[in-house]
Amino acid sequence: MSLYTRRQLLLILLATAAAAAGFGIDRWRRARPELAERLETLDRAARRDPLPRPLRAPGRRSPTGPSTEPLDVNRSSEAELGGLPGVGPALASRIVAARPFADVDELRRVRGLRRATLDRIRPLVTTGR
Amino acid sequence: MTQRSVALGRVPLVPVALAFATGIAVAPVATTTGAWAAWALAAAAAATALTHARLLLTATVAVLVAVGALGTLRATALPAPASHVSRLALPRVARVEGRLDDEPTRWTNERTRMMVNVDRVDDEPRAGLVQVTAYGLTPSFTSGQRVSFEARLDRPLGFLNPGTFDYAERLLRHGVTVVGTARGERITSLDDREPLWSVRLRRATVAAMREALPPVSAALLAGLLLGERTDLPPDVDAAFRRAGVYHVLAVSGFNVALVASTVWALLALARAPRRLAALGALVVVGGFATVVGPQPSVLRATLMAGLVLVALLLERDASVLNGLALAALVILAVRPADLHDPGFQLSFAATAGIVLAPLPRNRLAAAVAVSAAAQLAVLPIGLAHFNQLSTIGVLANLGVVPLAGLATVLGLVAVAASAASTTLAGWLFAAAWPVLLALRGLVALAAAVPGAVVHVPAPGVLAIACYGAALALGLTAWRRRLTHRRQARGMGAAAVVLVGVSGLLTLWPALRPADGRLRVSVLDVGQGDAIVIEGPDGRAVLVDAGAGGPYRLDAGERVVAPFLWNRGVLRLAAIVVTHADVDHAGGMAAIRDLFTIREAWDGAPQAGPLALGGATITPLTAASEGRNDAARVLRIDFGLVSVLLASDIEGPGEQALVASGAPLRATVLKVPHHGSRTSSSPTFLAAVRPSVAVISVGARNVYGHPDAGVLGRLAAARADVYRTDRDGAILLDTDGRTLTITRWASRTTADHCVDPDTLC
Repeated sequence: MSLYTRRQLLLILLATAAAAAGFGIDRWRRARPELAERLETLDRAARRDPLPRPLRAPGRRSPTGPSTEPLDVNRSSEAELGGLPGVGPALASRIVAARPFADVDELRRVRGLRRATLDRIRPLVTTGR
Repeated sequence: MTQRSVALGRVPLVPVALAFATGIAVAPVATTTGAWAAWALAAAAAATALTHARLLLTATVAVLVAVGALGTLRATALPAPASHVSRLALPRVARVEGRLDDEPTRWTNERTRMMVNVDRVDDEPRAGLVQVTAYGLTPSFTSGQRVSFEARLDRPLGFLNPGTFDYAERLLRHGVTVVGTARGERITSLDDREPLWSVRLRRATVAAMREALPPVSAALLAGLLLGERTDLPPDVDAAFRRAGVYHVLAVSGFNVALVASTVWALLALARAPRRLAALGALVVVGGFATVVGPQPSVLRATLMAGLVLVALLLERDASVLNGLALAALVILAVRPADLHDPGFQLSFAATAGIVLAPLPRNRLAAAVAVSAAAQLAVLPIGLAHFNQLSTIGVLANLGVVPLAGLATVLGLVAVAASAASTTLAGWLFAAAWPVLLALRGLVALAAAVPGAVVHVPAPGVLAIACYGAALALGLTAWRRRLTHRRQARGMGAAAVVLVGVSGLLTLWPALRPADGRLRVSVLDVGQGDAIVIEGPDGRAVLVDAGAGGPYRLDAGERVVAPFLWNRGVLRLAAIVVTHADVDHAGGMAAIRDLFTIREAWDGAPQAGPLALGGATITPLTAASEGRNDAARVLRIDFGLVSVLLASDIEGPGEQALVASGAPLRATVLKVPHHGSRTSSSPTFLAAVRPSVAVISVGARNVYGHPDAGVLGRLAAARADVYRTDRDGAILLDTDGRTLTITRWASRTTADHCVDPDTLC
């Protein structure tokens, strides 16, 4: 008496093998993220600096673009404001709604804009006056 | 081929699902390396065996072992990366940013619980789940929304007692290693996300019910239809539990089947072809599951309904049992922690019971059989998780299920109608109202029957295994009663014996004769007191029951009662409420409901002393004034060992006790008032001269208990200090000469010699 036919057993065995391979690779990648990243960029390594890329400065969500020109909070678009570190689309639209600002410190009246965020974006913005 | 292999051959996924579940179940005691080794060995053995035609059975076993090893691998936690929230130094106050992992649960207007999938903590990238409790008015957020807030983060706290539920452990199984508290009104959203259609539909449905029905009936219909029980008053909720019909308040196969058959019936009425009806039902069932959310019972029912409907579409036979196994495999592969969830276990056991049970032809008899089969199958699960056995359940379900079904169908049609006309929907909801009232009446009646619920100790693994074997034997015996009469009779007899053994094993803690030892257990109930005294004659006294009341964890119900049941204490010789503070008296209401109590020492000024075999409990008179100082102080004497339970008395109470000349000298002192600065004065400690001091105190309490000065005074008095905030429950066990003390958190024991003439 047997529960399964040979073919069924082979099928289950292959399924467990595939799942085990998946687990194993997932685990290995988590344990050695830098090695996994190196492998991922193998075919593009020639064009890249062989040294690991410098880490992004902590606190920056995304670079605001190549421009170093400070943003004018009274004139910039919502999208431009949304690119500032710590400022999302919701906050950007609230900044736009609260215009105009006489000086950068006045940004404090925008609901949800914390002092820490303000200190971070202070060098990146101006009121254009 | 025998009858049996044909039956199993039709359900090839059942052994696979069982093997996978077993693998998950053993994961806590297995190592990852071990699981890998087991998998590799089993796979190699299976591959070898498969090349030999004769070794098919070996190959089968090896393949199932490999599946089990895979389950273990799935269930063992992955190593947390360095940026995981569990690596944070805690406690700390931090700004947290992340996405809501599910819909927030609003317990009250003042308290909301949210699961946040964190991406930043204090502006540094972090990953992991944090469960946040928001106090105050929280804006309405939705699943997937990004939020930012300041929270106090810490590790989850569970109460550590023998035989009680550990909240921290459950959170850990679901991957939550950090919890936080926040002010609800200060949580800001970082994106303005519209809730998904399913959430909007759910909210609109609940709002429509509230509009059309009185509050309690609306809450009940929301429970029946959507499994949403947060608005249901605690007494109604408790009545459903007592009556053994709580399953109708969880969305399950029952609801899914009703949805599917309602759609099917409507489409059939419209003369739609069979395949179209199946397709329509499939779509609506999928939508329904999305609206009610991803609890295990919903997933199970939806997957199974999906299989049956797809089989109808393809005009093939569906094996329900195989579908059940497939549903289990899918759910466990995605969320292995669900295996430990009572909802998962109840749902699968009840369905398996109903599917496997033999059904008589007669309609009424079949209804009774279905009800009984489900109750028999879930019995050990209800006992293991809730210590609860419903005696009225089989009967109550006969009336409750049709009423709940009628209300559900009316509710469903009303929701569908509300898309067209709110007036029409209002009428349909109004039509459901008398049904809901009848349902509530019936449930209240069933719950009021004396002995509707029996509480017993949780069965062990062996008792459950005996019970399961008995059910299997009984079922086989019934199937073979005509073909193999003698064999069937033998199996039936064996099943009866096994049930008896299982019952005896389960009830042993309550049945075993008293062993002449005194046990005093200072339970970990957070900030509060709950002390169980088990006398040498087997009778038990409870002194205080921790905090309790609505909308907070009731220590009486959740900690003290399960502890007592699992120790085999099913009735109490006396309960003592030392004073009326909520952290001592709050949990007692639940205890009064759940236990038979001979004596209650709360109001009476002069009660006791009480003799428990060789031990005596004597109340001592403290001061007569002051909330804490007038607390009842108890003294327990047994042989050479004595315990002084000093409740919450402070300086004046201690002075009054010392001045009264009462016998204070004691081996063990339950330190007064959670070790507060105002208690444990040097005079008092000099009068008690304890060798052992036990402080019942909550971890991270806001009062700063225990006070450093008190700890210093206890050290100066040369007492060994035990504290429930660090050590969990403190279990004292004595024969009157030596005292054995167990710290439950670390499971370490220490012996204290009280008799100077014996060595230990």
